[in-house]
Amino acid sequence: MLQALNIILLASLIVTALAACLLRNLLAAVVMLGAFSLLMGIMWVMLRAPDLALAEVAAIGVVSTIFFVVTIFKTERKEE
Amino acid sequence: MKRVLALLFTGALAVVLLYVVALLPTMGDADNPTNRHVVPRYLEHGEQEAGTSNIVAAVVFNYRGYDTMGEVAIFSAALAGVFAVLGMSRKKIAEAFVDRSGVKFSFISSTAVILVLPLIILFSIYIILYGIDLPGGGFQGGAIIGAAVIILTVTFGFYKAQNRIPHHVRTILEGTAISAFFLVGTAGVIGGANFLTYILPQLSTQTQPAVRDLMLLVLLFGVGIKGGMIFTSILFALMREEETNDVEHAR
Repeated sequence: MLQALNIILLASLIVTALAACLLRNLLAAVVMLGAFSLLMGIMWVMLRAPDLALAEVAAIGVVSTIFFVVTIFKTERKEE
Repeated sequence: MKRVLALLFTGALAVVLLYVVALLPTMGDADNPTNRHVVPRYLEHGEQEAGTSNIVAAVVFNYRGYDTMGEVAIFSAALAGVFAVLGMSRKKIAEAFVDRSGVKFSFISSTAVILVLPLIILFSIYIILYGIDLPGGGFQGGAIIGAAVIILTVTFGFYKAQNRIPHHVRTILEGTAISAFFLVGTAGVIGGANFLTYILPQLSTQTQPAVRDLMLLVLLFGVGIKGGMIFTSILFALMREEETNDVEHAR
């Protein structure tokens, strides 16, 4: 049971990371980065590191995503 | 010709680095010096020497306090880099900002944010204060403060958020962490021990638990407030736009 959860989580990590690299719509790529950060937060809790989970979800899942969104507002929204 | 030279140089550097990495002991081996001397020392004597059962906080603030000081310096360097790219504004309050949506937030979400925001800030102070015993600590609380400021800015607009946290307040608060480290470290030196030993001068030559907890609290608060203020400053620097003649282009 735990093995299945681990495998699903790791596969989702790979899928979101690849999607964040290959998407053309930049806003969707930023949302994929936020999803990656959330899945990493779950992995940190499963690896018994709550400090890292808090820092990851708060600093990267929230703040870094907003920084990227504001930057996209200032530039183009579709990648060439 | 230049390309061939660059390729040769990079190849030679890569070979040297790979050779050095191959000489290192394997990770996780039980015979490593780290696993044999360092880790058992931290795990066995950590609670007695640092006064807390949270070994992570003991390692970050007590055993490896210098590294945390370096991390705080990296925060300031990141802020300097952002200002170098985006430019500081001459005026104290920005005149134009990024706003592409043109849709104001409804009454329901404004009221919800007003009710929830003090609780978020209280939670961040709780995470900072209990960083010694519970998971969390300085940087995590600072990130939550940054998230609270982001919610405030997104809901109420840039002008109101900037009036709440004006420029002179942010400039003073951004220096808290490195000042806290300097004060606490120098107090240790004046007391007769090394830098960043948590004792108070002329109180005793050994670390007392209350004094050590107080100094750790000062450090935690410094790191937390600094992290939050740096996130805020970077957000305001990103959202601020230049005063151009066609401000309509920003809308």
